[in-house]
Amino acid sequence: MITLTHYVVVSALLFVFGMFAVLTRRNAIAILMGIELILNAANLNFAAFSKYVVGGVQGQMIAVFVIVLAAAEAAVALAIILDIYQKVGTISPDETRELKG
Amino acid sequence: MSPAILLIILFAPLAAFAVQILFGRRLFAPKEGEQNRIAGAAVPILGVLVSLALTLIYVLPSMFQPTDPFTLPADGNGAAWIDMAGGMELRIGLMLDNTSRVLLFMVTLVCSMIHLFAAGYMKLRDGLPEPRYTRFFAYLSLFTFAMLLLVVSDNLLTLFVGWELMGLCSYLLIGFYYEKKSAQDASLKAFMTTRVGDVLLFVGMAILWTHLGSLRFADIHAGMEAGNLSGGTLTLAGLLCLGGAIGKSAQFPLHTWLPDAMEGPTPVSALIHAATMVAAGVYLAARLLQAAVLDAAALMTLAYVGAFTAVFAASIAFVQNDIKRVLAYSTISQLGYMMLAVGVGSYTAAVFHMLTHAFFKACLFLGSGSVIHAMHDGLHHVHSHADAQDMRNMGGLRKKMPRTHLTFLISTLAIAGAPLTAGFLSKDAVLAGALAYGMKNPGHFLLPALGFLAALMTAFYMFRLVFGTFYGEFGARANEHDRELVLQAEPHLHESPAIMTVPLIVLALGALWAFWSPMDPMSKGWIGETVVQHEVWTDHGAANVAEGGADSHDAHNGVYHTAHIVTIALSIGVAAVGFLFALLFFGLRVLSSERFAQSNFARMLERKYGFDELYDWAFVRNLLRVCNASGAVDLKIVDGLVNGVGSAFVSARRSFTWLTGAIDRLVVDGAVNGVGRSLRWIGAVFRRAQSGLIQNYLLVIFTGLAALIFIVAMGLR
Repeated sequence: MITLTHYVVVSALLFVFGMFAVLTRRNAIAILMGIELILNAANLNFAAFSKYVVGGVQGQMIAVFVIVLAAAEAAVALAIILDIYQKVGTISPDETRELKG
Repeated sequence: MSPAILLIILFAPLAAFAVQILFGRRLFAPKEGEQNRIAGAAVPILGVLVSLALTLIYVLPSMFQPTDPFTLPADGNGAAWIDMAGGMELRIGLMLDNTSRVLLFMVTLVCSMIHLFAAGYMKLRDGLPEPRYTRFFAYLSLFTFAMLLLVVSDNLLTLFVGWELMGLCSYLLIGFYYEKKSAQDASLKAFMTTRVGDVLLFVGMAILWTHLGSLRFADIHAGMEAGNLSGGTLTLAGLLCLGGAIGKSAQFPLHTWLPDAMEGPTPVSALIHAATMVAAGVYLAARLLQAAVLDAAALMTLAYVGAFTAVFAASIAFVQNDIKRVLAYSTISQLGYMMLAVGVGSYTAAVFHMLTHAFFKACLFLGSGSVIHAMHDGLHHVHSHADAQDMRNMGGLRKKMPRTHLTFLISTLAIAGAPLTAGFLSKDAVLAGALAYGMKNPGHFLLPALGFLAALMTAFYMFRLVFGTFYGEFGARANEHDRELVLQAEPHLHESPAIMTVPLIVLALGALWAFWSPMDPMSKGWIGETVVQHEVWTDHGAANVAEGGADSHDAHNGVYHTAHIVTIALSIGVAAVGFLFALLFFGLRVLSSERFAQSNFARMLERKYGFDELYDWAFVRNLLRVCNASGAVDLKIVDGLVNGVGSAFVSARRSFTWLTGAIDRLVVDGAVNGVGRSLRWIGAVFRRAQSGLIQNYLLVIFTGLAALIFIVAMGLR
């Protein structure tokens, strides 16, 4: 029997993997993938808590919203990355530190 | 058969994909200066061979036992995948009926053969080891899994998942040589064009779900029986779903992507763009027919689209010189046949032709791959840049490549519908179905007429290909510029290694009659016995179509029988005529095709009736225009507004500054400078934290979050 705990554990694992990718990757696209993992960890929590604790479909609906937003975000982020690549010639976040104080 | 076996068959290729994509490069990639090792392909080959072996041992024999379809979960009601409040749920499951069983056999066998062939074919690229060898096989494995999932799904939802996965693999593999611009463009074109059909299919599925509350074929059929969906909405749903099938199977008007898809490596063309994925559209149409979703109008549309495409694509194949493109148009034409069969209600004929076509077309494509492989090597040796796929640079190859020649010839006979081949059996079934339909509904005589016309054209252009490639003088028709070097390449031509010829032989055996109908080389054999539509037609709008169809309850009432006998005579006749013309024009060359080649019609054929230009003009350019227009709105209006507001503030500020400047300098500056200096000192300390390295910031954020959660958790305890 799959309980709420299972979902939460999977979600936590997803979150940690995503965080690891975001923190360690030297490639902006890989960081973007990490962010997607984190978003999906949140999605899983929404759906799981909605089913086991709250009831109804609000959680699932929020998850669908998040998916749509994630798609939009990926499109914008990829466009920005392309632009950065054309300007700077790399997409490593370490090389692009224009905003440094 | 236990459920575990079905699951292993399904998931073995997926497991191979996971191993290959995660560890493939580390484990199997060649080291510096080393040839590619076959080990790079071992895991995917093992995965698909496991599926093949289990299918042969457990699945295929169960075809002959009269049992209900095997389902998983066993109660046949599926399991709830998504279970929402308010009674909404999506149920899914796996199902093996005889159609699925025989397709499972076909897919695993053809996939195994193509995996083996590719292990040899893909080793080198331009004389160097292929750098993405392991990745190629990872994609092939994923594709195999997707196709198997499609075949064993008992519902439209997981079928759609497999469908889209195949689309992805097709995109990745067409663009496998992504260093070439043409390959990039072709992969995008294939993805975008099939996407048009996929969206239609998705909308069709949504209509079915809202009216019937389930996407399982059994539930859909039950819902149709109960009359929950009828009239215009039913026609619309059927046509939308068929839109998906037409896109995937490259039928008119969404056919333009398939010839361009030949940019992919040849094993990919054989597997995805000839044997399996493009046949998935026909499979979907057949399943919808079985579930009674297609009403008379939808079936009629499908029949005409199929018949028209069969002739239309065959005519373009007349003038192509690239051997893979000839085969691509021939695939479109043959898929048109299958669509025609579904459209006239000949369910068994459609499935049968799908099976035999997979064998002989995969064999033809692999044979062309073997030829291209040899030509590539030969031309590479003499440093010629002539096109290795252009059949004008070939000729007389039968002496150099006897095994390739023989298998290619058998498959050509099969596709042309010569007696004693598998193609003869299945093509006759399709044509007999169409003819029976035409005899019952004389208003639609055009359907069988187009079918027979396409059969004649098929024999003609296929033998043009055979004569051009394997007979005559080598390089005799190469253009002036290349001829000298091409002729020098002749001694370097060689037969392909065993790992490539054995799959050819296996597939060519499948193109003969013996496997399909050992007792009677004139009938549908065991396919006709086992793969029949197990639902008797009901009167949901499809009845008048079914009456003329081959598999209806009155199948043996005479019309079909008469039609079958007429068909046998006619189809042998038209195939012979097509062969004769090809022999006169291209074999013996007693007739000249020069005048035809100069004509405007031939030029129009060479431009494929101008559909690429039309779509470019109608869709691509207009889309770009919309994009540019919205870009201009952004630049001029939005930016202008922002800039205007900005400059208004700037000028207002300027006059204000002039007034206050004096006070400012005298009173405030002293105080501000003091504060400023101290702030600057603090800033010098803290600016180090602002390193500009995003990941440092994120580390701080995540650490802070963890600390916060820890403190809160402590507090709660």
